[in-house]
Amino acid sequence: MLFLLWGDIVYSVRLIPIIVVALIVLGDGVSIVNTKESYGSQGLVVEGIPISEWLRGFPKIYGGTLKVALPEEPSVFNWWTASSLWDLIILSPIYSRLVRIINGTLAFELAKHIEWSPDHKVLTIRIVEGAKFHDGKTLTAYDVAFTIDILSENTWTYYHSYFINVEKVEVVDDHTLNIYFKNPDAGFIYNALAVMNIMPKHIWEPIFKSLGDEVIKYSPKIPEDLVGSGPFKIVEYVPGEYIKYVVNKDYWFGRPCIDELIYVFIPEANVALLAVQKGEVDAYAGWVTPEVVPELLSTPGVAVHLFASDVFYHWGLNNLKWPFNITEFRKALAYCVDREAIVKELLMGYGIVGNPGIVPPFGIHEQWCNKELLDKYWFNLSKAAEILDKLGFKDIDGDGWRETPDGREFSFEIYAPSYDVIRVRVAQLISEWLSNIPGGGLRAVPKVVEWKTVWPLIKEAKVDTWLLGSGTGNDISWLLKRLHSRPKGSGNWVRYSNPTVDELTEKLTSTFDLVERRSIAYKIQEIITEDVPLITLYYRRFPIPYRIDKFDGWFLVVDEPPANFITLLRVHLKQYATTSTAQSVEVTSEAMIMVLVAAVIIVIILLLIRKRTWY
Amino acid sequence: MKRFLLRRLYTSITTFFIVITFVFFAVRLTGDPLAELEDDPRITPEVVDRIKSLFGLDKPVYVQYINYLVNVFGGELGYSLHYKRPVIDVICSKLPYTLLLLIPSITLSNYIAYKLGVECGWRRRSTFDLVVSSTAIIIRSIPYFWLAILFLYIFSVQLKITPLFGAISPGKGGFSLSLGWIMDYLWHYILPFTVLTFRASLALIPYVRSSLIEVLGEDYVVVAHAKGVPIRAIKYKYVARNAFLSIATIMGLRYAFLIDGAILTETIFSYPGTGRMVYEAIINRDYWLLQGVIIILTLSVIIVNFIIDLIYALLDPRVKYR
Repeated sequence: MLFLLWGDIVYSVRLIPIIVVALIVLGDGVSIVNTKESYGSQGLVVEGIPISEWLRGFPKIYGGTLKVALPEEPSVFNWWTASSLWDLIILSPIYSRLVRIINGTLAFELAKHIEWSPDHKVLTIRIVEGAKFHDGKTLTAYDVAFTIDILSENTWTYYHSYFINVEKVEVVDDHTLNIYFKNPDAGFIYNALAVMNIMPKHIWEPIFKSLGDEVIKYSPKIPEDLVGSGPFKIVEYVPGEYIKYVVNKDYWFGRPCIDELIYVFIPEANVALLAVQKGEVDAYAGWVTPEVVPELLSTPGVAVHLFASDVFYHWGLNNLKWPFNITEFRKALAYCVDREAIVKELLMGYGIVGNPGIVPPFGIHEQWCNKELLDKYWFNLSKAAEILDKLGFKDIDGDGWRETPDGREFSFEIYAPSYDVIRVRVAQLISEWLSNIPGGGLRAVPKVVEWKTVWPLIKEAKVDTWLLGSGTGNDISWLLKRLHSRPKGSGNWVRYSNPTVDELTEKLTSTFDLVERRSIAYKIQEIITEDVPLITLYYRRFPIPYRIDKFDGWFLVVDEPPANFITLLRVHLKQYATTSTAQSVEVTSEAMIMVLVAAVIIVIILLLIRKRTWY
Repeated sequence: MKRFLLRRLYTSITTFFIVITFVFFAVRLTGDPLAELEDDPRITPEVVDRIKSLFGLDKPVYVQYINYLVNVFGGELGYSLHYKRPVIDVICSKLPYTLLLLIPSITLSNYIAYKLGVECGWRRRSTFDLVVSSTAIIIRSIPYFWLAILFLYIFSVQLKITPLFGAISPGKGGFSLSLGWIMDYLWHYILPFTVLTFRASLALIPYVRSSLIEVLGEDYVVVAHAKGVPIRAIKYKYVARNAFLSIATIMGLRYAFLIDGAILTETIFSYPGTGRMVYEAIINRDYWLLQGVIIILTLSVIIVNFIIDLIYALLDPRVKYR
């Protein structure tokens, strides 16, 4: 699906070299064993690949400073409460995790062995020996247990909801711990462990003891409090400017190649783009608009990576309101949306057509995606007309618009956020398509609004329809959050309710067998494709520029930007590349002299003008 | 004088109280600051509720208001919800850059506008006036962000004599007094400073010019000419000084809005400062930061107004402290 769509990308010819590189990397990923779980003698052993597998074959050429532009300054350095993408990006290089999801597969980082008890109530984890924090203290199971305890006990921590099933953690020895669960949680490793940075107990325990819940407002001292066991150490933070790291030479499985890493904050995307083009930074962490891609690719040394975001943009239909509570009516609406046209024309090919079963058909989600459903609900206005006629929505008075079965005028609203021009245009397009239904259109009014004013109305199910982009999760159990009908319905904003789906989504969290889980996920997708609680429109792909003339070893996968954790571990100077420091010093002083000379000339001119004309 | 000061103090405190009350309720009308967290798949409603209670957002509005008043008059601006740090810390981390960029820029642009405006008014309809005034009108009409990007394109991209982004080169470190650091700072400083000053001075020239022309027609100017007062004295002591009265407020108030920053300059030149911080506070519905900024803004407007009143009396002896 993904690769078919690439053929439609407007500038596809120019993108061929990148696609080739991406294919090689993706091919690499496929060749690595997929994550699986197998029953051992006592329990269920979780299998993954050691993270070092992703670094194999890359030369160890030490040196160089990798500079990455970040579109926003991080707001919080306290990992317990950090929530924005930028906060998490800047904290990532300093911490280690037990496991990570790399190219859709489970990779073991600090974890050496993970095993479920037969009743899935206990998870035993053995960690590697010899890992150390930046301050020289040894990382032990006590640190891991401390981190899990804090996350499960403190409801204000950002990742708390992943740890609500944890009953207690028990340290067996310095390198082994048991996690006891209240209820089985099949998504725990993917959801919770894969995002959990191991925090040093010796630093944070005293802080928690003295501040309690007030740690939420605690701003860590930099760099003293930002001690981790990751491949880089923070050495300097200049607010509004940059954050600088140096390599952790004692990183437990070998130091990364680069000596320094700098994240520079550049809020204006056009300037970041120029900075990449001029070689002042090596990569951008934000994304650029598709229009600039040809220009970027014509710049020597610059490449563009297409990053696919797993946020599913959808047309949300209020399942509590008439007539959106009628499944057939929702189906008719689904036939009125040309998802392909949205991707091809509106997103200029930089997108992936929405799966009626919601689950993104790429990256980490690919293994769960029921691809047979991708072909459902292609644009077909006559079919929509047929369904609407059957439901009694007919144009009785001949004004070109359909009335309700009892003869009343009918119209509804599509809310789109003013900050997202794509969604504004999608709302207009949908309204246009609906007006073109043969035998009389449906009147849909696009409403462009400041998002935070309409959000409370969506939450309280007071509006008809809206365009929203919603996040997913590492493990397929995220479907529960989006489709389960529990009261308060956080996440299930369309208020979809189907007892079978409720039961199946609950089963997803308690079923550990991969084959069975996949069949449940497939079944859920089939049901929601039939029920159409919402209409998935597209997933976006973002062009991200980075430079290939100075560094080699970029880790390019579809669901990660180029400057990701694995890139930081394996990126290295090209053998013939010169270091940029010497160059920039030269440019700086030269430029400074020129600026000073210019300033002197201006002052002289001003003085002359003053003498000759002012008095 | 004493009565004047007391009366000013009384009105200032009343204004301050009204403004902070208005601010408190106004920012709460802008929407829920935690709305984004609510659609985050990693977050449950319990987490959002707990965060709300830790930041006091779960309390009734009147309780929040009383707490807020107590805090404000106790000099406490609260915690920023977005930065999870004391508001004062957040503002102070950005303020030095804004002050260093804007105070010299405003002062210089006020001075240039004053000098050139007086000259244009004095020699109205001369070639000099024509050139300066029309340039001023053209530059004023160009959108600021476009002008800034144009400067950036010419000096940083084409001529490559100024840097593309930031207030210092990555890796140079925070404030220091070493020569290398100062040179690097100045190298980054010169372009945003020039654009700001250039645009602001040209934007102000028409005000100075028109208020000068108004004064030029006064009888005392004719008398001064008739009795042979030197031209320079007429220009600056008779005309410009009186013309300055009406523009002192405009020029003075520019200092009051310092913390408001130069948001476009900061964004385009990736220059740290309070302007972007204010913008982000609005976007993120960061109640406390927004309140803190508006409180400081209000205070500075009140103080600057007070100073302008004092300056008026210096400029115009007819104004008495009554």
